[in-house]
Amino acid sequence: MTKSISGDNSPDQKSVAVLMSGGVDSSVAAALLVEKGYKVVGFTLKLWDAEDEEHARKVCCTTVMAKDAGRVCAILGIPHYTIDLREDFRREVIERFEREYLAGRTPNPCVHCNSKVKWGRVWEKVKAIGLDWIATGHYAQLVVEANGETTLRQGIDQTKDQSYFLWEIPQELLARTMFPLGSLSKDEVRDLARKLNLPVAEKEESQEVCFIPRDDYRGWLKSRHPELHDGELAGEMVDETGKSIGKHDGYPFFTIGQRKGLGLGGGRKLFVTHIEPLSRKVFVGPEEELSHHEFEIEGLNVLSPNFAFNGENGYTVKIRYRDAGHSAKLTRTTNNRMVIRVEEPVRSLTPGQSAVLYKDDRVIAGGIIC
Amino acid sequence: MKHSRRIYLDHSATTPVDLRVVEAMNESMLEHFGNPSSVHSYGRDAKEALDFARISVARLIDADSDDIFFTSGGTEADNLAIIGYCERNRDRGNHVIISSIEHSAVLLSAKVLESRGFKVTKVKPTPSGEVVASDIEKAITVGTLLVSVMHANNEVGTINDIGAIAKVAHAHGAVFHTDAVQTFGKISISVAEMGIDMLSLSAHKIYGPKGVGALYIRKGVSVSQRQFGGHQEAEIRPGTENLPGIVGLGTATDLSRNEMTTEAVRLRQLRDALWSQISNSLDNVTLNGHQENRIPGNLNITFKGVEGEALLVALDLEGISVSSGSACSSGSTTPSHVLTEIGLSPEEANSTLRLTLGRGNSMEDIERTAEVIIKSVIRLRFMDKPFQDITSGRYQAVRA
Repeated sequence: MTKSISGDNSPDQKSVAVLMSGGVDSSVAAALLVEKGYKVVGFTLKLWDAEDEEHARKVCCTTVMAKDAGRVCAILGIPHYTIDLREDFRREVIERFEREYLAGRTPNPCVHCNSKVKWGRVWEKVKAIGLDWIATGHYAQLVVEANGETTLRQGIDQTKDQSYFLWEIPQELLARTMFPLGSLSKDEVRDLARKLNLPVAEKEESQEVCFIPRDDYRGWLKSRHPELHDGELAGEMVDETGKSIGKHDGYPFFTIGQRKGLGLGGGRKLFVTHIEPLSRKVFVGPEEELSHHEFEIEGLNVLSPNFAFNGENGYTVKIRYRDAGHSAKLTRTTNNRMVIRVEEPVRSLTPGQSAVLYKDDRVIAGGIIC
Repeated sequence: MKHSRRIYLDHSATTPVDLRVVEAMNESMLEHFGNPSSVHSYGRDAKEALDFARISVARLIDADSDDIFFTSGGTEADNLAIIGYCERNRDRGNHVIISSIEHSAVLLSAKVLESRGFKVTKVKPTPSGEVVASDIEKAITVGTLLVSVMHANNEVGTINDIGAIAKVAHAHGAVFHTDAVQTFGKISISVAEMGIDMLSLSAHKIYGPKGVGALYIRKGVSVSQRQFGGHQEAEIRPGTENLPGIVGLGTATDLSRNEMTTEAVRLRQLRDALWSQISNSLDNVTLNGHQENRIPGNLNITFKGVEGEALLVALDLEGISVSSGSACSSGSTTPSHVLTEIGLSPEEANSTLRLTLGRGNSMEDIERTAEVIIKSVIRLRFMDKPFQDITSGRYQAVRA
């Protein structure tokens, strides 16, 4: 049934825009495409300005990393350009990230960066410049099925699989995309980088949300929102019986399932179970309160029109990155929404996070947990 | 993306070194390698080569060769003229006038002076990019020491009547400096007739090597040195002379003098052909700068609704090298200060390309460039939608 992996298509002298962060993965992705004979053009996105150099060195899409990407392109003998998309990134990713926390939810900025910035503005631009394909160093696979449909599948390396972050990309763009690393493991990618003498072979992995320094989203939110300083979003901590058992300094500082830093002292184990932005209440409760059998997702993006979602079994849902997955029944309720019923209860269901739906290794849809 | 050969249309950024210049430089490095300060024959040979170059440069701007001081390029010449003159003469005044569309070498020299207590007035150009003498005159005060206005703008190419500006400066007791990096060797200059007191020039814009230029300083105008060492360049610019570079500048100057008039006519024809092909085939394109009074090979075009950076990349992938705004300010999409000063909106400035023609370009290059630009602009207008959120669709995809 599998005809060919699109990253493996016989080179027809098609031109490919490779998004290069300056890290190992995208560098090797570019090298592999060059080796296959495509006309490869490297693009580095300038998405935001790092506050300090140490931070800039660690994460993608800063000027420091653009230099590394430029060096790799010089070695590969391909052109390299920087696209300044700071405006788009601010609007589509950073501001949305802030809005979500202020609405009491926990966002996945990488998902929206992919769908709105990379497979949004960047694709629009490189297509207009005259390039045919877009490629990145994501660990995911694209398979052209016998019926001509391109399907998104998990990367071979289960520990690195990044398909979770790609669900929001429109189906028609996946058909113009290549993921050259999808069939490789991280170790193989590093070996290739060494073999190709790429200067980024030994670079550390970037982690967490790129534009947040030191992974401290609370400090970052505070620095940008004076109302968080002034305690305007402070409120009560409420237990499962509705009783106020303490105070907090701002509900955006909490996420569902959080246990540490609640400031409730000793006693029984309590977890954040629910956040109510209007009343500024943060609800806590015992672990059982975190379990859910059923939930709803919105902003649905279906990557395969062949699935009806009439409550049938046999699907897997992941409710966060690196989630092992849960067997689920899916029922589409509207164009945009779906109800997901899991066999075993899931823990710490977090509004704002993505729920990604799989049939075996294949991503068939995704949405945002309500 | 198939292209048989590359087409270079960025001669205002820099130029390829002429083979005849390379030969002269080779001879300098291999045979006349002596230190011009040495007494022996090697030194004398080197000194002779140095003097020849000085005479060549002086001759092209109608100056006395004693008044030519070699530098590391246009930037150093600008720094030396502006900071050096004002520091030296600060007992006589504390005010400097420049135009608001100067090169950053001048703008930042003025900023340094500001930080040292000088007052700086920046005079705006007309919408065609011209700095007008009467506007300079309005800015003059009792304490005005120096007026510095570029001969022609590096982005839009408009040529200023610096003779008239020099006259105004002199009438009020001020000294006049011009950054002539974009005009030296391209259009005729006479420091004597125009009344120029200091003039900056550079070799690499006229098929000479990078890293060498000169400052003309009229006798009687004194500047304080910014570099300290030996007796070279009358102690105004000490350090062993960059002899191969200076010989390259001298040779490039000679070649330009011989070819300037015919080359200017040829470049104007090519440029006009390129502009008419583009403007006949595309709507919503405007030529920035003065329509006639501009550097022979310069075109500065706003393609409304198209992001200049994207167009630049599309052309580069076809082997055509141009620049968006000024080459010095690329890497970020901050709109060019020159374009915003002549009245373009930031979106218009970011939709602008500069094409500067030179010695290696042929009519065939022009036709291919026009064809690729027209094709790319149509595609970009149709598929890319820059600025749509900023301008609420004002420049959205003008479909052709």
